[in-house]
Amino acid sequence: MRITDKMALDAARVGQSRAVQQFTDASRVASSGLRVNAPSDDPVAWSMKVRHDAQIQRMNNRSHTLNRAGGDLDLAESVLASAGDLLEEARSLAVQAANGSVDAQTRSNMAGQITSLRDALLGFANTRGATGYLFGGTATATAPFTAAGVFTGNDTAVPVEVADGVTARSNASGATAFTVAGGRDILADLQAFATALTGNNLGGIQTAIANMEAGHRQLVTAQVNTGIGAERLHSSVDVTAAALISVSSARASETEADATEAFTALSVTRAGYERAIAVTRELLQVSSVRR
Amino acid sequence: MSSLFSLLGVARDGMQAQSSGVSVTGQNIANVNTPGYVRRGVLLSARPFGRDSNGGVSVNGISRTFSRFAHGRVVEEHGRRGAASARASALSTTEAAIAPSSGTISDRVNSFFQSLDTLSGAPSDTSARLAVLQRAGALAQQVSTTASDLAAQRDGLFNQARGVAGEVNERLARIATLNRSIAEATSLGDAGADLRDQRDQLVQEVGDRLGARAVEDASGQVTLFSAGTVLVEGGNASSVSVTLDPANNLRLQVQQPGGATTDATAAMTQGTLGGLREARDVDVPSVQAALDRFAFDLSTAVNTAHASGFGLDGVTGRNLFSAPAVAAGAARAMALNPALAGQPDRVGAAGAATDLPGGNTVALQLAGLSSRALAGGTTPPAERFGAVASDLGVRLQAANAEEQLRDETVQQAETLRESASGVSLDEEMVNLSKFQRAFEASTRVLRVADELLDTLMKSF
Repeated sequence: MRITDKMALDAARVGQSRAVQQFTDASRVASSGLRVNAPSDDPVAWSMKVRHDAQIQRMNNRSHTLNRAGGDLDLAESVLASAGDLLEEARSLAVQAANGSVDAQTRSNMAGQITSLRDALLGFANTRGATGYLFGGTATATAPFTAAGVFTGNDTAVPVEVADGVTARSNASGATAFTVAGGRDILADLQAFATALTGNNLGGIQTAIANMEAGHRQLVTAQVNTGIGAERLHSSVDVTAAALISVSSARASETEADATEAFTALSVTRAGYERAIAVTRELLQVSSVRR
Repeated sequence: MSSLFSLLGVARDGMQAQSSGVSVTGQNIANVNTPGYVRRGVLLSARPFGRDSNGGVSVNGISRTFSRFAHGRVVEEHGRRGAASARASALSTTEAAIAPSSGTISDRVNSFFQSLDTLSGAPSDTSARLAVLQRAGALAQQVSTTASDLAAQRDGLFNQARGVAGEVNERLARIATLNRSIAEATSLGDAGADLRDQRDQLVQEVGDRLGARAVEDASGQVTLFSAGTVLVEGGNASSVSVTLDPANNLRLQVQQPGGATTDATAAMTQGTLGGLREARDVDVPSVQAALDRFAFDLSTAVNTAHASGFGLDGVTGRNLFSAPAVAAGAARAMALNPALAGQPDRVGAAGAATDLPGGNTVALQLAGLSSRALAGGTTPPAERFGAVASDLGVRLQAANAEEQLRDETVQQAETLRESASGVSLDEEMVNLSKFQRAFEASTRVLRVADELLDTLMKSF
């Protein structure tokens, strides 16, 4: 084939252009650390990246929501434990007051203690968490128990997603912990106990012993259930975190460049580019025109 | 029998012939980088040596080393590369609109569902509700802006196609003019090499823009075929025009010199116009339709769930997005329901009025849409959009590969043509020396003849 200067230089130009393109691509990958920057870089990998991004986002959201709900359940569990301690104290007072040697004045004084315990319990029942009142069901904006001890909340569960399509209750049940829905209306029992003490009603005091024991069991049961619920949410956070690592790793392997490969490619393409420049220079120097 | 005087004529012919050689070589060197230039050669022939002449050399003309076949291949390959380049370039723009380096629609989708997740954990929280509205609005705006960008790109491609049609017409007219000039030159015995160079370069440029095939007749004129019709015949040129048909697709019409108009749209597959048509009327509409379907299905799914929820004001039945009636145009029309703008209490998170304000079942249901397949597809929203971008990526990747392939075939064809018709400076340097030496030798002949005549004169 007859070779002209233009052919030789065009071939060099094309080679140089290709070499600089490869060098630029390798530089982009090495500097960004990403193998896939646009859908056309690798359509399948891009599609996987979008899927993984959505999964990662969802897992992060889930962890955040579970942590928040779990925190409220932890708080509810702690409150129920304290409430149980109050009931235990009230039961002790009931046992003392049931003793026949206790006079009416002492019982009247004890009524004041019980009223204080009831007020403290009311305060516990109206505790607020990160998402509103803990024991009001979905009525989170208003205190679930009135000063008279009337429950104005509901027992509706507030679900939270613990896995795709799987939900768990994220709120403690104030109704079963404090009201007759759980067996005893604890605040009313405390009120009745205080009234019996004030009235020096030994029969009422003896009834209160049984009621305080039942109330205590009710609170302990609610505490255990709440603790189990909280534990489930915390476990889900751990499972989600493990899944998050796995998905993040898959995303990285799909879209991120291997550092060694990227820098090797950069060196190779740089050498190729320098070679192409050297060839062009050589071609420009070798010419019969200069002789 | 030849005389000494005729020897002077031989020397003169030699000098003239070698001068012509030097001139042609000079022209070749001067045009070594001129696009479309075909190397020339001087045609020399020996004068017969006989009773009335002692020989010599005559210049019979200038040759033009042109390979019609090689040039035809270059034009053909330029047509294919023109289509591939135009399509790849257009799709790169589409890709930038669909998948910018940051803040893609899938990012907005994720962000929107993140706000719903947060709302499901704090349904009575006003800031969580405001975040839902803000991110729903941002998602809708991004989808709408992207759809507008795609529509604007189609408009831009139409304008580009009209511009290219204008360039084609300008070249067709010049080819016709050059055809006439070449025919006149040929009839006068002139090869019209410079005119042919210009015309063949123009044929290649038409090939770049629309694809072309040229057939030369005995008079040197070419008939130019393109887009399934004749665009130039002798000194007459047709004109092409690009318009839009009722379906908003490009239409290529060819107006013949006689006034007849032909629809050549179906044959518009080559050159820049072919690539623009493929991108504008096939690729981009496919992306637009997928984006519309995505917007329609997402809006419908979100609205259906949201309408079952109760706002903090106890009202139900509201849509979160403006409800699209049909899929066509849904992306461009996507917007936050104006009734909810700035009204966080109207976000429906609770499944019943009695669950207010802490009820979250609808918020949970809305958040759950992020991992459930949208109606009309098999994948969740973000992946659904990812598939739109991925499909575009496949098209662009194919277009880039096609462009690269066509670059190589053009290079190959140009190499073939250059090998036959190009100027080699090495050759021209040798030719320059060759003609220079021959010229010097002819002057020597002249000197010898002069000396012989001088000797002869002095002998009397």
